[in-house]
Amino acid sequence: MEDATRRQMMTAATLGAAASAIAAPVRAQADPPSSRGGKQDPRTKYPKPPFKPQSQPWPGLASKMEPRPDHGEASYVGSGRLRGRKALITGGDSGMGRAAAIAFAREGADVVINHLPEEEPDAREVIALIRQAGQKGVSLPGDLRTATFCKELVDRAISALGGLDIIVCNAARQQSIPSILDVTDEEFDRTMKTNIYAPFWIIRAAVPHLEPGSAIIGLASEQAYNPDPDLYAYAQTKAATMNYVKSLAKQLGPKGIRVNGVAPGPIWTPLQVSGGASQAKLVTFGGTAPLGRPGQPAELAGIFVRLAEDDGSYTTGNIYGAGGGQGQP
Amino acid sequence: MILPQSMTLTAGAILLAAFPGAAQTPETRETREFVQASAQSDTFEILEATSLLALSKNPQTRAFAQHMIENHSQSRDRLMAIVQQEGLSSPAPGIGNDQSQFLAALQSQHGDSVDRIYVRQQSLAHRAALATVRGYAASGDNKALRAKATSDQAPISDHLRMAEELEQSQPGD
Repeated sequence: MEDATRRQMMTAATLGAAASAIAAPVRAQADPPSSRGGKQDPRTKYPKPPFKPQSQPWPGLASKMEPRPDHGEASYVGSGRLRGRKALITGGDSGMGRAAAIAFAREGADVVINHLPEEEPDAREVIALIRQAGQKGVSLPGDLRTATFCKELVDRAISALGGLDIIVCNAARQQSIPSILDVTDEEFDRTMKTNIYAPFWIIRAAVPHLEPGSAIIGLASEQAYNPDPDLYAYAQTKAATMNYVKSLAKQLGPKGIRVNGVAPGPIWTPLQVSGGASQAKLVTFGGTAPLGRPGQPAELAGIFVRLAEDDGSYTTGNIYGAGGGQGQP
Repeated sequence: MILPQSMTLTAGAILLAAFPGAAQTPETRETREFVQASAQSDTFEILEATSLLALSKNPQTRAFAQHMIENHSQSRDRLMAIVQQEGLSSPAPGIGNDQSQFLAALQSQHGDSVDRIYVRQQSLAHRAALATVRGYAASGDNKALRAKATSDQAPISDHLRMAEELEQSQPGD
């Protein structure tokens, strides 16, 4: 009896806290959040193929995609899970990086996003969303393909936020090229520099500043485990990412820094419509997944938060997936 | 399972086809990729339809599958004739990754779900095929292949429409 009463009181208190958390952040759109609580059919929650043929020059803009990807703008509800944290997210203007940026801000973190100068229109929207969440949002545009810029990015992020304790190495180059005969040195180099060197340069520059409790998140992929033949260059960088996550977790565990990876399946992002997927693949994108549709960036937001937050303190050297029923891990 | 004769012939043709030679190829990248995509699409359609015929008793989907085998066997023969006549590299055998996943999913079904999954996959696969032929019809550099891509648009659109109609007529799950 006493137990039951206490449970009821706790439930009421929890509900009250949740209600005030829901009321606090200013959301991008007025729609009531629909993704928390209850249950939704994962097959019909988001658009499924066929999609309209579409193509954008690299790196592409989320704002010009049809349908527009969902990064959690109208749905992500925070509850202080990252209060006081300071995050740097590369490729934070669109796709999964943007979903992470929105979620981190609504969970109470200040966020620096990096992106290419061409992605400015997407980035502007993200910065506005971070600020609407009541957090500091800073955009530091620039190409990650030089050590100098990566070092500068870390230094500027630290001075903008007064420190750094979450790093998400998300930016990536992906081009669908069916034959190795057509992979130029320039393309191969661009993929390696963006996907492998940049995380190395950024993490190396940041580690001396990271205190115990900090978290590093790398972006692997289902491609790391079962590569498509047309993603020869990209897929091997994802396998390398899966591997560096595990190596660095062992190296940095003794310093109290956790390192984890995310392995998405087919996710509806600008990278796919700007050469990352063939037109034939694009119109049926996600159709082979058992859920029958591609994932939306918003569906990974909770994973990024989980890997960054203190509640996940025993999770390091692990890869979390969102594969729609196919692929590994 | 009874393999239609055209299927046996096509499988033989696939096995005989050589991988494209390394380093130097007589065609542009766009042409090589179109030949490969077309060959994979025809092979996939024949494999899917053959699987459907082995698994389904539904007369409508069986008729559609039979039509796919005939039509895509002809398409494949025309493609190989052009490849030979134009001195292009032969396409590599097999199907694409996405197509393998579709095929594996179809072959794991039984009962009514066979037909439901087949027509859903067919409508998506023909949409993908349509994007491929439209692309080459618009900008392909080999005249003979471009003519094939152009003339393939109508039958592929028909297949797409038929698959979508079958999809509409399937009971929901």
